[in-house]
Amino acid sequence: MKKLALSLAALALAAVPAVSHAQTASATVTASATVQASLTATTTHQLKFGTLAMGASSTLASSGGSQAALSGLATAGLGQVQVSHNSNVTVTTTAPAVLTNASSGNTLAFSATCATAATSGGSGTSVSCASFSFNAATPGTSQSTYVLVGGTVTGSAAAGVGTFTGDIDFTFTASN
Amino acid sequence: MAKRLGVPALRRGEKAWLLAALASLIVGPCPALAQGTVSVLPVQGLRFGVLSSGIPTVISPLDGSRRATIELVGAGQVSVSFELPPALRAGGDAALPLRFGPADGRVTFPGSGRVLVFDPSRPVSFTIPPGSGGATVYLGASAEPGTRQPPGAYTGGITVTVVVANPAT
Repeated sequence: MKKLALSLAALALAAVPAVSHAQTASATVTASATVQASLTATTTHQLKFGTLAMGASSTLASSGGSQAALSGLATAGLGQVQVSHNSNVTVTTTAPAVLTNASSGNTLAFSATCATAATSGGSGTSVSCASFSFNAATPGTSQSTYVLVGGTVTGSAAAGVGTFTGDIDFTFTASN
Repeated sequence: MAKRLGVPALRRGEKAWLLAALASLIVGPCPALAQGTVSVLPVQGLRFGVLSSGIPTVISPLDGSRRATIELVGAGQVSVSFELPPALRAGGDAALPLRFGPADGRVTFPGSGRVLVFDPSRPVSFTIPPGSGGATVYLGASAEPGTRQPPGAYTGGITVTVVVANPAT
């Protein structure tokens, strides 16, 4: 029985947790950063239909086999916006339906066409002016994409003579 | 005729041993266990905000709005270690390098006002006295976007592991 008592005592001591032990706990916090895109847009050429006969219409194609050249200081031609970007870009456009003579208030019907090109005045790929996008070949690497703008102005003898203008507004948004 | 109760073969001294042993079973864990418990509470992440390609950004461990903050609640002798990501990641393979300097870690003890500066790339050990209100660990770091860093949202996890060693009381 003495052996039994000592055995019980030993068992009890063995069951007591060690007074020196370790507890482990962990947690995770998040580190975050946003690298902003580089995006600039510059109008390099205005869309110019040049001088038209009264009532005559004109079309400047922004893509395809009959793609027009870029405008010059005194020559008709396509408009162009150079976009420098290092990420994908989405574009929305607001184009007027008419060109307006600021003096008389008369208008000529107008419809715009758009295209993108890899080089200035290069072969255009047709896109819908209202909404389109282009990608960065290598995200993070700055590159240029060229937006070509052409269109058709419809002549109207009733509109009389004068200079008819309108603004085409592009909004470029960097996306990832 | 009197009858003996209990274990008749045991003498008085042996009974005392046995009772003490059984009592220790009933009492259970020693008080040191409760004193040595520390909880780890993530309070704030490391916030670099908006960065530009090619421009490194440093967050000081003293920058209250951007540093990482971890609360240690409890008391005991602790060893704190960190799994530090070498870079933050965005979609795809884009990586934004991170660097942790030798003074980017800080521990403050609200009870005493003591401050401990440490290198988060190595474990740091300290004691949180009982009743001191715990300790707060702060982390700073540097983000180093390359000149051709792809734009986007980058994230990464910093895991904090706390080992609490309880000396005999």
